[in-house]
Amino acid sequence: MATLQNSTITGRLQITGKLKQINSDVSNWQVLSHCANGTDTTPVYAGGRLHVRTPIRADNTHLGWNPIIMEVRGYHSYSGEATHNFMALLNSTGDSNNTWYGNQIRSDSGHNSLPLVYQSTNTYGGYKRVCFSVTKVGCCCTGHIWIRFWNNTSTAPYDYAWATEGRGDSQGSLSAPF
Amino acid sequence: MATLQATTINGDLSASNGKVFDSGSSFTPWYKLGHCDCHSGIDGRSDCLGNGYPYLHVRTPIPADNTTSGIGWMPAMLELVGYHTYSGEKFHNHKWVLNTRGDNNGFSATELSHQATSEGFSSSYNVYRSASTYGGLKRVVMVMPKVACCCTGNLWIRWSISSQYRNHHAWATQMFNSTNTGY
Repeated sequence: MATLQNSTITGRLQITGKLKQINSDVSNWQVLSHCANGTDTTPVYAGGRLHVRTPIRADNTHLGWNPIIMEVRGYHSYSGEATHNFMALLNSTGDSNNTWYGNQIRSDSGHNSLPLVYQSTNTYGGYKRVCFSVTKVGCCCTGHIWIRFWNNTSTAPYDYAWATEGRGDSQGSLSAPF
Repeated sequence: MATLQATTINGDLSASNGKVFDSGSSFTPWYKLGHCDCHSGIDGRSDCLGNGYPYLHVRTPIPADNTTSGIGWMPAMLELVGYHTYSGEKFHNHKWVLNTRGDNNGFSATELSHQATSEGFSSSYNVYRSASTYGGLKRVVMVMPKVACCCTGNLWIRWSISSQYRNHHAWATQMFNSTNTGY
C-alpha cells in the first residue's frame, strides 16, 4: 500500500474502492438498488417498503453518547413516485443499560418516503445493526438509494455487510425483517 | 509534494491527516467543529455551568468584502450540517447564498433551504458580516441555536467558492445572546 504525503493530481482521480476522508468525519456515499427481493409478497418485488440494514452497530460500541447522523437520498420508479431525503440522528445511551434511542428523524423533505429508523431484532456479526425502511413502489422499476454518515465514520460504516429486503409492511406496522 | 497525472486507485483511498480538495467542483471539504462553548468570563456564562447563551456564532475564514482578497460579485453557496445534544435537540441542515456587491460592498446572505424539522427557517439562524476585522478583513459569520449544555454536538461547514479561503484566516466559535451581533 502506498503512503503518500501531500499530493496533487492534475487530472481525474478514479477510486474503485472507498474514499475515506477521516479528518472531516463524513463517509462517502453507499449506493444501493431499490429493487429488493421480498420475502412476504407475491410477486417478490412487490413490497410496500424497502428495508435497509446498515453496518452501524445499534449499541454503544459505535454510538453511546456519540451520535452519528445518517443521511439518505434516493428515488424509486421512473417518475420518482417515492423520493427520499432525510437525516436521522442515531444514538444509544453510553452507560451500562446501552439503550437504543429509537427513531429520530430530524429532517425529512422526501416525497411519499415515510422513513423509519430502527434497531435490528437479530444480531449480525455479533451486534444489532441500525436499519431503516422507506416506501417502495410495487414494481422492479429503476430506483437507487444513497446513504452516508456524519461523525464517528472512520471505521463504523465499514464494519459489516449491507443488506436490503422488500416487505409488505408499512411505516406504522414494522415487520422487522432483520 | 508529488504531482500525479490522472490516477486510478484500485482499492480504498484514505486521507488520514489531511483533506481531499476537489478543486474541479470548487466545493471545499467539510470542516468539522465542536458545538460546546465553555469559555469562562463571558458575563459569568458557560455551557459547562448550564447557563450559556443560546446562540453559537461560527466565524469562518471567508472574507466578507469586495477587496482583491474578498468575494465581490462572487456569490457562494454556504452549507451547514450538524446537531447539538445527545438527542439532537438542535439539528442543522441549512444552505445560504452569500454575496458581496462588487460596487458598493453590500453584503447579503439569503437562506435557500432548510430541513431541520424543529427549527426550520427559524429566527435562530443567521449569516452576517463581522463588525470587527480579523486579519484585516471582515469575515462571514454563521449563527445557529444551541442548548446551554456542554453536551455532544458537531458542525460541518463547506462552501462553493475557491477553497483558497478555507485557510485564509483562523476559524473561531463563541456563544452570544444575539443572532446578529458578536464578532
